[in-house]
Amino acid sequence: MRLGIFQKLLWVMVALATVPLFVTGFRLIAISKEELAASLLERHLSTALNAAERLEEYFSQLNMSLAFSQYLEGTSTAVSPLKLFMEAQKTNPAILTLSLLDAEGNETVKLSSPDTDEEAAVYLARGEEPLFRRAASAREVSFSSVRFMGTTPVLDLVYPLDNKSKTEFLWVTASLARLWVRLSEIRLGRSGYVSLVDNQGITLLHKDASKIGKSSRLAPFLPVKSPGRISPRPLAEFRDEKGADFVGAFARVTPLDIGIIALQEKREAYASLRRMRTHAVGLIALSCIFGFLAALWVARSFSRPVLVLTQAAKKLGTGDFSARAEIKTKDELSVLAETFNTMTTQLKEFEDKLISQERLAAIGQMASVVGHEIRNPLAAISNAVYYIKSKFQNPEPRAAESLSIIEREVQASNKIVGDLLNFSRQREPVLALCDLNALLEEVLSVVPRPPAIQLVTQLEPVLPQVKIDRDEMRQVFLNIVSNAYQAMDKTGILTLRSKNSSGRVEVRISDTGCGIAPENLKKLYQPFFSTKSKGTGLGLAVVKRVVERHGGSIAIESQVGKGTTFIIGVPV
Amino acid sequence: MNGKQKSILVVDDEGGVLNTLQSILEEKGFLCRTAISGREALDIFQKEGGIDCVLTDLRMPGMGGVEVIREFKKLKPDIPVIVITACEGEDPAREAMKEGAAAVVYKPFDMESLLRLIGEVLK
Repeated sequence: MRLGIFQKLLWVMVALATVPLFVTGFRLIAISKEELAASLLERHLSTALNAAERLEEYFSQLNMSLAFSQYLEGTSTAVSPLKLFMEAQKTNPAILTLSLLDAEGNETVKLSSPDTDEEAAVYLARGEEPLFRRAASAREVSFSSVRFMGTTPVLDLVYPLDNKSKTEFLWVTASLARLWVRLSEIRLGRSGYVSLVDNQGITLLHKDASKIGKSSRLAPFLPVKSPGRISPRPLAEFRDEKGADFVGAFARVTPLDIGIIALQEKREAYASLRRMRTHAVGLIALSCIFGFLAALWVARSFSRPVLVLTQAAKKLGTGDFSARAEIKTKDELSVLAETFNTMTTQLKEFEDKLISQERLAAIGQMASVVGHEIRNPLAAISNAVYYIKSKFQNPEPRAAESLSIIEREVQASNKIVGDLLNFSRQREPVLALCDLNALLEEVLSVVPRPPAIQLVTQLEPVLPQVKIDRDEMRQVFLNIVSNAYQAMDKTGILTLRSKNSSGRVEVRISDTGCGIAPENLKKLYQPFFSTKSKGTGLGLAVVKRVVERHGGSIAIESQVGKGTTFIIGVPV
Repeated sequence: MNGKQKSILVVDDEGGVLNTLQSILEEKGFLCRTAISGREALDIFQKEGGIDCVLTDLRMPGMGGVEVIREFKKLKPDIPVIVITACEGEDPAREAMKEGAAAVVYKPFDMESLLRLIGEVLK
């Protein structure tokens, strides 16, 4: 497929306008995505850590509330459990039940908060419970996993109470409800929240209550699976059962081995990126449109002149020299169009010149044949007249007049042939230095002057010589002088002036004849145009051609009834 | 006319020119021979001899004027030849002069001038 300049320019310019934007835009988006992912991770991590801190704070408060257990050391068991419980509840309302266990794990005293359903009267044997065994063997404070009493998340803690006399344990069940409420109030953007998962992957806290106590889909974040306290990079992503994508990070609560996960819908997390991408795409589309329009304009302003030129050139190709390329763009293209137009004009002139030269050559050929064929009989006629005149010395007047008429007409016919030959002569001028004054004198002596015509010559005595073809220039002055005599109809003044004027010799030939009508002035140099009853109309055509071939100038000043002046300038 | 009658050979393919010239020349006391072509002129020149001057046209069918001059000059180098031609232009005339023509006269010519010219070349 051949693409026009228009399409090529269009596509190149659209590409130029959009490709850099496209590349930069998407590169920026990619960089921003990395940056955003890093900052999102920071945010999620800090949220998770914040939650973890609250949890840890809760534990430390719980511990402080139970610090009274220290006082038990070294005292008798006669400490009132009621007093203990009252004391603990006062400082921490989260404590639900408080039991005193003997060395075998049997509850000996048990107090419950009124908020709990647990039957205070039922004393349990907890000797076999893993939590008790752990506390008993390690002899240090042990925690259970978070469990639920109904919907209330609770935590069991066992404190070994070392007395001198006997070993006892304090079993505390604390409510996490208030903490859970506080944690579930944590928000990350609009959709973000915090979820807690234990080391078995069971959901402990979730904004969707139905998920609590079940295996979490957030398992990939589980602290068990990753050794550190916080999420490794990069930001983790996962898809929930409804197909929504989330991003998140976790922090581990060390003493409890619970993972706190801060998570947020990916859609929201990356909203700014999406907005950025939308803007970039919009911008690219916009620049595409503007680029396209600009390219359209530029391409049109390029291709239209080319089209105009092409059409003009085609027109010229068919030989129509009126072909013109009209381009007004005021740039190189309009210069090209001007050049084209000038070239067309010159071609036209050249063609005209060629045609006129061809015509001239044809006339020349014809003139030469006709001239030869006519001059032979003219010679015979003039010979015959001569013979008759010499044979009959004194003919009667009318016969003598007839003979001179024949002689005159032979001369006239011969002149016509001569004019024709002069006009059509194609030879190159033979240039030689020549004095125009001398040439003018010669012409005056050759052309017979009617007796009643006065001659005035004002020739500049010393003229620079000019380089001319003497024969041709002689013909020029001959023709002008003959015309002047004919224009004056018997009486008048012929004035010849010559002068040297700035690099050229100027000859003025003035008559006081009939003058030339303005409408004829233009046609004066046209071949075969004549106002005389007798005349080929070639005289001035020859004059003009010869003068121009010499690089000279010709001008006419004429007034009807007053006379005519020919001004011929010949370069020195 | 002093002494022996001078003999002039006129060569032209134009009968009109030939006949009128013959009448005038004979009227003026010359012995005039005419030839309608270059070939005929050469025959007359070779067979009869005694030709003092030749007037010849340039453009003729068959043998042209320039060739006539060349042949005559071969036979008689000092014979004066005057060219009479209707062809304006320099090339044939210049060629004729190069071949030894004494003068070139253009038709239609002034008879008096031609007679003067003949008188000069015959001297």
